[in-house]
Amino acid sequence: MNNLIELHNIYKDYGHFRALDDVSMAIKPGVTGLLGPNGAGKSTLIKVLLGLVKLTSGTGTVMGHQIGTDVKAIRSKVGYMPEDDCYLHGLSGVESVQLAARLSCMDRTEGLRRAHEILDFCGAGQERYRDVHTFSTGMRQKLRFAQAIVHDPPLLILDEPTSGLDPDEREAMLSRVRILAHRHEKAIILCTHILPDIQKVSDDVIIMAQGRVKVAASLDELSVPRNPAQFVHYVGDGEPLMRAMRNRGFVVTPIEGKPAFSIPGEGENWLPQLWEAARQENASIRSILPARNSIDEIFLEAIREGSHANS
Amino acid sequence: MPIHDLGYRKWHGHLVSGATRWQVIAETGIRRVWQSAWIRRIVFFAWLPLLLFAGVFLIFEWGARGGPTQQVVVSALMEWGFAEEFQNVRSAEDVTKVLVSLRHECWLRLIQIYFRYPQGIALVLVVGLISPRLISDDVSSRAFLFYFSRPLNRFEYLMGKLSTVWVYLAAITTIPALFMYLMAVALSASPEVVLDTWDIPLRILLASVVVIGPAGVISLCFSSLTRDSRYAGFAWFALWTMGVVTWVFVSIWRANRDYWGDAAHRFEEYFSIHHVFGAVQRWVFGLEPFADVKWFIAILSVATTAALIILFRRISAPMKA
Repeated sequence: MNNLIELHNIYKDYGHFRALDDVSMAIKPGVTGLLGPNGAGKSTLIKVLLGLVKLTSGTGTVMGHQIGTDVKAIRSKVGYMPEDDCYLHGLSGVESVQLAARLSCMDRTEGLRRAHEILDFCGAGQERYRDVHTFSTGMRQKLRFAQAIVHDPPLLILDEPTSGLDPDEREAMLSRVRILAHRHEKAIILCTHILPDIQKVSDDVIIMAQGRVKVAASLDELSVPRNPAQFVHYVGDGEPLMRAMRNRGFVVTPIEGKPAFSIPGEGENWLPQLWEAARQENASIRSILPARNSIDEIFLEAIREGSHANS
Repeated sequence: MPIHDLGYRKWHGHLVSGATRWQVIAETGIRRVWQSAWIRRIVFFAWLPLLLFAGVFLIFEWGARGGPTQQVVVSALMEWGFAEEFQNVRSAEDVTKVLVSLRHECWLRLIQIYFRYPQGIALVLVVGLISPRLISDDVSSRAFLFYFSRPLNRFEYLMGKLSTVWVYLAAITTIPALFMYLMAVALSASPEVVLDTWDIPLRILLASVVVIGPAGVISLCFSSLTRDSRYAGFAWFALWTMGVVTWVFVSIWRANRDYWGDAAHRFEEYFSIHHVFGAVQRWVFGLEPFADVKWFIAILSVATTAALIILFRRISAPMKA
């Protein structure tokens, strides 16, 4: 599969501060989650991709266009949804989206038609006719999203698209992201602090810290734990079953907050004994699933490794 | 889901030329500015002096055709520094000939006065109401990211913003001045007058450029320096009022002490942007030689260039943060 974005040894310094430190990465089509703590260099990376800041050194391409030289070509193929509010005073919602369309070279009439079409997709009702500075947080998120996608770009960069949204709106926004990625084959870079969002929609994950790329892999690969284990979900009181397994010499770890426990290994050695123990204790087992690393664990591990390496 | 909501659909339309992006910004700016009732009032009132000047042209042209206003015109022109031209006139026909020969210069002076005073004041007010918000609002609402994440460069952005100011300034200076010229031609009742005065529309355009261009750049420079448009507005009005106040004080001081004498000819006018614009306009209208205004042109050029450099730097500054 062709890489949409390729970066090679990118450095970006702001005076004496190094914001990007030897960043190399390749981003494939699909949804890529870009994670990192504050100050990790995510925003600088986005600005570099859009040609908003000049590179100190390094090379890269976005959809085949050279970063830093083919700026207009890159921007015409990228839809960027910034994290911060960036609205224009005195314009209504639909006018703001129309302006975004026209700046991307749509004519006036088509820009207006497309603005309405996209605002319908984003679930903006009659509020679209109100002045943007009267918009609620959720409506502003929709507006920024609409502005980013109005020109039908093949690559979307979404910076915190769900922050400040209530659960329903958040789910709706993620649903739109999924629709764009899977039905319309858009490449999406999803930059967020809300880790469950990444787990829900991302195919690949890039984790940055201190200006460096700490992890870049598919979510499936990262979800496989270093030490395999199985989660056993039970019904009712699981304590007698866990005790029975411990008595048989297995390491059993209860899962906090869930009617489940984990047992290390793939299950070949302990599975017959688990059925036997369940029969003896009259316990009901609902499911046995392989343990997966949560995105929180992946993220924390990557950040921890980074800070250990530095210390 | 509303019946018209068809979900997301790919777009297959045709894109227009990228060369029009600055026009989109200008168009949006012009529409937003027009929402202000104050701007609409000022633009309306800025056209009213035209009626007064139309009356003056009517009196002049009537006199130049030997009408009853001839004596009034001659008296006024003698007061205005044209006494020498009327020294050897013997008959009413001679007076008419002199008035016709003075038509070009009189028209130029009238238009220059129109530019300098009523339109000068309107220009300060209009720019003071429009420019401060144009860039500072974008700084405070972080709209730079909105603009520059699209295929748009700083030059196009700046052209869009400057065009917004220029359109309004042209509406209160260039267009009425050209209208005034056409009115004067119509009142002269002789199409041949165009042959004698063909250069005046060109001078009007040039005089507009030398005022509107720097005024737009300098005012937007103030706007780019702050997140609060009130400071930019204050800086703009302060530039004009402080300049005139300084001019008054330095004039009085020089008059009392005869300081520098002729060596620093019109030294006090260098402090006032109003006088700097006026001097350059007088040159454009052919009322002063280049040698007398070269320093005014230099001051205006340096101020405009410096403002442009600051503007370009400020436009990219918020994105580097």
